[in-house]
This record gives sequence, structure tokens and C-alpha cells, in this order.
Amino acid sequence: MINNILRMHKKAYFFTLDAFIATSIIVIGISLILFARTNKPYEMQTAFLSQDVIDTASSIKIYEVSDNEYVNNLTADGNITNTQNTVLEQVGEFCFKGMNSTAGNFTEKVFLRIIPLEYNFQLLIKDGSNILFNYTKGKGMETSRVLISSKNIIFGQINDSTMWGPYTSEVITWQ
Amino acid sequence: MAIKNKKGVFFTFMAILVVSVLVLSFSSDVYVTSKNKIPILKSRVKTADNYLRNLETSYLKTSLYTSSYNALKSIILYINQTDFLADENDLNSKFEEILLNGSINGENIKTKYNINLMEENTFIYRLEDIENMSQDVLHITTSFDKDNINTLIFQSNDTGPWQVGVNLTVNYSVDAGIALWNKTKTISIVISIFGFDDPLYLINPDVPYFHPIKETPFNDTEWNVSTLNEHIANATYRHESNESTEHSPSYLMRFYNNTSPSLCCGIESMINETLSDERYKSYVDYCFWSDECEGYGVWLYNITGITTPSYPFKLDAYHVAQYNMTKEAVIS
Repeated sequence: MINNILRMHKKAYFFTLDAFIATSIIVIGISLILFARTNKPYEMQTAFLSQDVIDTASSIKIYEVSDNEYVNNLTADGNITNTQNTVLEQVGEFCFKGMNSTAGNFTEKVFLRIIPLEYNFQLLIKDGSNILFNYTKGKGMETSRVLISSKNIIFGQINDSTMWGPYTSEVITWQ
Repeated sequence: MAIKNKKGVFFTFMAILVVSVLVLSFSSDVYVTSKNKIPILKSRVKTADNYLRNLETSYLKTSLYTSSYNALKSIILYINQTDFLADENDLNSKFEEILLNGSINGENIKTKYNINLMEENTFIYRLEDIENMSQDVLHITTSFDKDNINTLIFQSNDTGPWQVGVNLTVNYSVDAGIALWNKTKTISIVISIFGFDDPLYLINPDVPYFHPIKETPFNDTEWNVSTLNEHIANATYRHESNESTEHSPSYLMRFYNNTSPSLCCGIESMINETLSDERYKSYVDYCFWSDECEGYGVWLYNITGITTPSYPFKLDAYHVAQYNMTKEAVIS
């Protein structure tokens, strides 16, 4: 009788332990899934941002940012001669003309309006392997866990007889 | 009792099995891999599509425009050093060779004629540039059939007298790995002739005379002695907009010294005092240097207010009427 009671007690303890183990497995499993899933959008967002920045800069034309005082001044001074250029083409044209400091200021005034503050970015203009222009906003590029680069080809026309490019434009974003 | 114990173990294993299946089914590797493939493929197709659109609508057109502009300038410099071209076919073949390769009859125009406008500016150079760039930057293989490019330089009702048109047809393929495009594209551009030198003035005088094309501000109802004097002084050109068949030659016809009428695109200027001499010819440029206007009347006319002893300006009967000089015309 006593033996039977002891056996009964052991059974209850065994099932409690069993339920505890099962619950732990479920909790660990769900945690693993959630941990793995929450990490991914972080990378994807940075990747999308890099591509979005280069797409936007390749499609917005100078006359479309006419609310920017700096751009208006450049146009009035004759430094911007074609308001049909896209923003990225204008940076390329400045590089072709050797106006790198104007290109830097232009990038700061125009690009920073389309990139969220929490992200850092770098804009490179290259002619083959030769870097013509480098603008970097923010630090920690070397140590960043997620560094995404998007590239595009840019070119343009200065006058009837002169064409510049094709150059490589590269936008690198990180957090 | 023994059977009951076995049931407990069975349920435990079942629970572990179910949880394992759940964990495996939703494990991050499987989930993320399939989910991530979609934006990567989408982005790749989008990149290739943007590149192709940019290539067709912008790069090829810009390249053709700048290369054609320089090729036309080069052919004028070539004429200046040699002579008029033979005919329209000669113009087209030489223009094509300069545009594509920067050469004439297989010889580089920089080496042979010291004309360096096509240096790194030929259309083929531009095509090779974008082929390399698309491969290096976007990993998209672009391949142009450079041996089968056809070009045509022309003037027509579509271009009018003040522009020349260039059509170029090229076959090419774009391979983005996940998609392949094989295309034949005809690119058309028009170039304004303002500022280009007139070949008639380069070859006909004893010394080449640079006489760039400028359009007169006066229309055919505004001609009088004053406007004609201004027309001569400013070295401007007039396009005849009437239905007459006695039109002047077009700009491109001047490259091969064809002075026959061009109904769509004829332009004419007046010989100025610097180039004038004692010849008994009408002072309309193509009449002055050819016999094209011999049939425009027996007599030539001095124009009161323009003709002087040092400038024996004369007009034929047809042009006297055209420039509204009937009252000022005196038989020469």
C-alpha cells in the first residue's frame, strides 16, 4: 500500500517535470524563431535604403529641388547649367569640371534631405578605378555590422561636342 | 501500472516530436532564405530594366549626338584641307567612317589630317565604354554588333533647312543573367547647323573663308535695301519659304558642291565685299560660284544703295524679285 502510494507520488512528479521540459522546449524554440526573424529586417532596411537613395538621386531632376536655396544659388550663378540633369548627374558633372568642393556642398544640401538621420552614408563617383569624388557622412563604416552598397552608371553632356562619363556612382549606407 | 508508465513516456516523446517539427518548420534558415530571394530577384530585374531604359533613351542618344556633332565638324575640316566631297554617297560613307572609327579611307584623321575632334569621341569608343562599365558595375553583359551599324545623315522636311538629321541602326544584346534582351534600335538625332562653316566658302575663294551659318531675322515680306544691307553685313542666310523651283542648295549639298535646288532645305547668303570681284555673276553665294542661275534672266542688276565701285554687287532677275529690289534694280 505504502509502496503504491510512493509510486503514485513519483508519477505526478514525473509528469510535472515532463510538462516543464516540454514548455521549456517550446519557449526556447519560439525564442530562437523570434530572435532569428527580428534580426533580418534590420539588414533589409539598410539594403533598401542604399538602393532607394541611388534610385531617387538618379531620377529627381534639379528643377524638382528648386525649393533648395543652395541649388537655386548655383543655378543663378551659372554653376548649374542644365536643370534637366538628375541630382546624381549634377554631382558627376561637377566632378568632370573639377568642382569637387561644390559637389561636396551640393551632396550635403540635397542628399541629407532624403536620408534618415539615423543612417550614415558614403557617395563615391569613380572613373574606372579612379575615385573622383568621396563624400562620407557619419563614422563607424569599418566596424559596421551591416554595410550595403548600391551602384549605378552616370553620364551627361556639357555642350554640343562634349560628353562626360560613363562614371560609376556608388552609395554605401550603414547604421 | 507498467502500461500506464509507457503511455506517459509516449506522450513525452510525442510532445518533443511536435515541438521539434514546429521548430524545424519555422527555423530561421528556411524562412529567411525563401523570403530574401524575392527582393534580390526583384532588385536584379529592376536594375537591368533601368539600365536598358537609360541606355536606349539617354546614353545612345547623347553619344550619337556628341559624336555626330564632332564628326560633322571634322568633315568640314577635312574638306577645308582637301576638296569638296564627290557626291551624297561619299558624304554618307565618309561621315559614317568618321563617326564610328574617327578615320577616312581607313586612315586616322588625327594622324593624317591633324583633326583631333574624334579622339575618345567616336561612337564605337562610346559603345565599348558602356560595354565595359555595365559589366564591371552592374554585372550586366552588353554586346553591340559593331560591324553592322548603319548610319544616314540627311536633311528633309522633318529637319528643315537649319538642322541635319542623323539616323543610326545598331543590333545589341543585354544579358542580366536572369533575363536576356536582343534588340535592334534605330536612334535619331537632329543637330542645329548654326555655327557650322559653309563648305562653299571654304573651297571656292582663293583662300578658305570661314563663313558660319546664321539665320537672317527677316522673313520674305520684310526685304528692302536696309534689311538686305544688314543681311550682307551680318553674313546671314535666308531660307526661301515659297513654292518656287529656283531654290538654293541645302547645307549638306554644299559639302559636295551640288548647287541644284533643294525645296525643303535651301539656304543662301550674299557674297560680301571681301570676296567680291569683277565677275559678271549674281552675288547670291551659289550663283556666284556656279552656273546654276544662268537661266534666271538675261540681265544682271546693280542695286541702288548697295552696289558701289568697290563692291560691284549684282542680282539676277529672280533674286531681284525675291528680295523686293525691283525699284532699286538698274541693269548692270
